[in-house]
Amino acid sequence: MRVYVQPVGLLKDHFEAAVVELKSNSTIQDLIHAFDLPKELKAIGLVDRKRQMEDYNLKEGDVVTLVCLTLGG
Amino acid sequence: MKGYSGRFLKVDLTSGSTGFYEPTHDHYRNFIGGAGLAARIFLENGDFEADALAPESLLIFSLGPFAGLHLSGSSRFSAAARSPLTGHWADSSCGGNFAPELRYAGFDGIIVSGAADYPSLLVIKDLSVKIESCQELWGQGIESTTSILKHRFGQSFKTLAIGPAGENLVKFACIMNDGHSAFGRTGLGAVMGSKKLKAIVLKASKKTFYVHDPENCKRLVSDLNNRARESVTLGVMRENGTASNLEGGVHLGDVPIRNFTSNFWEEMAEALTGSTLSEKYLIRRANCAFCNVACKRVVQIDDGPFALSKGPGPEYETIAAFGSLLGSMDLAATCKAGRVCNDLGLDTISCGSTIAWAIEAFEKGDLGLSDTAGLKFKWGDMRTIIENLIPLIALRKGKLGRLLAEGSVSAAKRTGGDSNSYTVHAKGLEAPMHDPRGGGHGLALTYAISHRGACHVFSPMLFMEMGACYYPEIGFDLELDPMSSDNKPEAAVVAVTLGALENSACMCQFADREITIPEWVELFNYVAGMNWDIEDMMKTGRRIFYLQRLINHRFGIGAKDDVVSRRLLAPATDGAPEGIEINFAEMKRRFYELMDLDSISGSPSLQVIMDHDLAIEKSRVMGDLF
Repeated sequence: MRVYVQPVGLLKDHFEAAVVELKSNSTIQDLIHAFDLPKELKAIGLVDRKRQMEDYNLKEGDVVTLVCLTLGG
Repeated sequence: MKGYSGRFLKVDLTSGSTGFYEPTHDHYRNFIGGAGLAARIFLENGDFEADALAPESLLIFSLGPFAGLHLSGSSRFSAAARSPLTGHWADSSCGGNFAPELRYAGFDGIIVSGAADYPSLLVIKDLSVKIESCQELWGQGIESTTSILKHRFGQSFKTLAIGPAGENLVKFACIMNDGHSAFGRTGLGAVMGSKKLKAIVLKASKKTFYVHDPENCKRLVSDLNNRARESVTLGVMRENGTASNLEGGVHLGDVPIRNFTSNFWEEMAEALTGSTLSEKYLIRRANCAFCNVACKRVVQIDDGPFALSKGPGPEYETIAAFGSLLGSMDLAATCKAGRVCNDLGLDTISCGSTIAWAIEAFEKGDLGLSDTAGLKFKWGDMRTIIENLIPLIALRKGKLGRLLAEGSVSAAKRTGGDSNSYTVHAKGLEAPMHDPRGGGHGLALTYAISHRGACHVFSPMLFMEMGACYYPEIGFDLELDPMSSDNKPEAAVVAVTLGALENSACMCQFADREITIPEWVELFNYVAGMNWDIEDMMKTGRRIFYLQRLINHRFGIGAKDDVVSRRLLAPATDGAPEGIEINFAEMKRRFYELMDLDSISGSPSLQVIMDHDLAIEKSRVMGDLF
């Protein structure tokens, strides 16, 4: 299964937009693990611009935006 | 009690007298300092009948027990008073360098009452205090006031000053410390202006500070500072400032756009985010006293319509309030607007929000050219906003200046029509730049139940919903879905308690994310000898939350006021939160149940009063309990 992944904000320093190959039934959490981010950076997944929880099952062709919020504001 | 000086400076500007006020040991222990102790002092000494801008009103500056420690995040302090903007109890928090200096000088705070006949300056050198006339400073901006005072007294003197907005009693005027840190919210600059107090200058000759357990305190402070220095998340703040998450926030729908009418604007996200500010305009990073985070910005813009000399740069709230909220993605304009507001002494959040309301009012025809002195308001027209609107508000110039200087809620009431429907606030305080529909439904709840109104630093709910903090030691280890109302009342119980502790200990909500709950307890015990366990500390946080509600009850605030504007609850029309409803009524009902608050008065039950040792406080507010 292939999904298109786009990093936003802080995550641009860690990886570039890419097509990622995953096993079928992979979740957003599986996708995030594939990028081996520092544990302090908690990534949040949006699929087709809608926020999804970590256990969301991805589908072939999904466009996933990964956002990381640390502190701010 | 170690960790405290044991005295507040008392200044009566009507009589010109000064003296000391000594809170009791129990007041320190039960209300800590900062916002909590200020509330208790007001209860003991304040006049509930006095208008916010009357001489009888009190303006209280209050330190937490950690001010003076060489600890990242510990150099904040609180100012508190009846707010001229909202009409009820309010406090605001400020970083910078004034708080430790005041502690070293020998004070835990300053209580200002009365009103001078002429513009005045309070000069504090250790325990020596003088009130001086300063007619020559009246009308000066913050930059020149600070510069003149530093020149006159010396660069090492710390300053607190108001600008023309405070002098003109603009309801959202701020108080600035050394021109770079602000008591931004709730209009306390107008309270200072009503007392004709232009500025306070301060110098302590010794930098000593006594704590209960110096050895353990030194070790803990060292550990926490090392952690703050090495933290990945705080490193992000250091690198790109408080706006480092703006781009991500736009994708989540957290960043308000055009007066909260939209939750997504992709090209704006990168244009205004913290890394762009660093790349384009950052000259250097700056910090509050003893802080390793250094999230403050110093910027310079060499050319263009918003060219700017080297000086303080905007934080996230200012960038959003004078950027996306006003339909602009011009980062230089946000820097300029922030600098102009700072100089005039205006809260950038309420100012940006009030202008956003005015633009929408003009667009909808509720304000016409006859109301706007012929000015045409348009989203993103930053030149008109910076050159015309902001100064006109600060100076209360003309009909439009007088209208907008009252804040958006009052302006809408005066304007009539449907214009109240697009004010965005809770309890009259304009909402900060986090939209609960995308930022987290729990924020809608904590905006509503906050004693001061819509405020993101009233509690750490924003960070809890982001997933930026967990507190397993007190049973909070849930992964919250920001765009759901599930588990939010339970999270809010933790959030309001921790928020009360943070705002009373006067710790920075960024830096203290690295402090665990047991370490919080240790800090209180090592510094102030509280001898607390976790439950003692949490109970103190809840006690402060309840006290602030009791005071507001006396100001006429009840459960009906624990709401947010309709706009914040209407399903978003775009972006990540599109179409999702916030189940506000159920969140509020459950929170009230968990905190045992009366569904009409909003006040804590008798059982809560007894359990939290608030019987005396309740009787002062409402008369005898039995």
